[in-house]
Amino acid sequence: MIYSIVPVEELFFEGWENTIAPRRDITIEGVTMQVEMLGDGTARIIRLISPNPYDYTNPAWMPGSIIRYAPKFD
Amino acid sequence: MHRIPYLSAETQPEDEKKRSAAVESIQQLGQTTVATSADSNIYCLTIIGQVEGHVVLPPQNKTTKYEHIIPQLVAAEQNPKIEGVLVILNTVGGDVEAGLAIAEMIASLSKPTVTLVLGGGHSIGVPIAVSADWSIIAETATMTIHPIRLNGLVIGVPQTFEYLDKMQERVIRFILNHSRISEEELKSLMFKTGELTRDIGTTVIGADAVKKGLIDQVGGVAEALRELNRRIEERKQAAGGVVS
Repeated sequence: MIYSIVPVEELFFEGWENTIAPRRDITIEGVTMQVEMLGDGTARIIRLISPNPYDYTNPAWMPGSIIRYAPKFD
Repeated sequence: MHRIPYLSAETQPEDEKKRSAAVESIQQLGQTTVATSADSNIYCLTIIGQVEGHVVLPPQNKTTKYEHIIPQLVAAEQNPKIEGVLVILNTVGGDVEAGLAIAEMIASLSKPTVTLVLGGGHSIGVPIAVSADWSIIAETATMTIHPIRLNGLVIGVPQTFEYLDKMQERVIRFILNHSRISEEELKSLMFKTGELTRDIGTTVIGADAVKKGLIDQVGGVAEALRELNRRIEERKQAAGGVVS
């Protein structure tokens, strides 16, 4: 049951036709982040999901920066 | 082509692991030394957008996921380096069960907790906002207190209303048990008509929320951290000066 000020129809149907690049939650050096897969072995950081405030001051993990990320299959 | 090896890092011996971590950082970030984050004694949880529970919302919604928050709170309780938890809220509400679960988790932490409502702490954000030892609201932040709506297929029988009433009661009980607001006041805010355009309920802003007894203080991040640090000190002293 959803208890929100946003109407339910808006939650589920608004903007659904806009396709968004696949996103994935990954963990690098203990920091969970949401990244957008760019499809060429790199990914763009969308946001960090970390409870440590100092992680957000690390320039390497600024949202928008590109990291090399390719899942390994073996 | 190079493959990034960190997904299989667990299986390597210790020094091999260290070396590959350096290679990894060159590959990923183009530099050998990655600024490793300092450890903070404060655990900062941000609850933004929709609180996401059993139903995965479409990707255009910004959400805070239950499965991210709950284990983090367990870790905060268990980790001896963590001395206090700061919860920052800017949420429009979301799943009732997930919201209440997060609120119960925060309320049952043995370490000092402070919540700070910035922007908004609406609907199911209200029990989360009041769950901490001390709650703070920014002067411009709002909280919308309104009844739970039924959505999906609704069967028009009295039992439907009873079910909804029970859901409502869970939220109301939690807020009453964790804040200074009276039941009459809370219910009058919740069922007020004519104030919200599309709904029944009330929007309380900053100082208003404090006056009604919902939130403890008006303030910002400085007040929140001061209060949290004060409580951490107090707890240390109570434990006989030993950091626990």
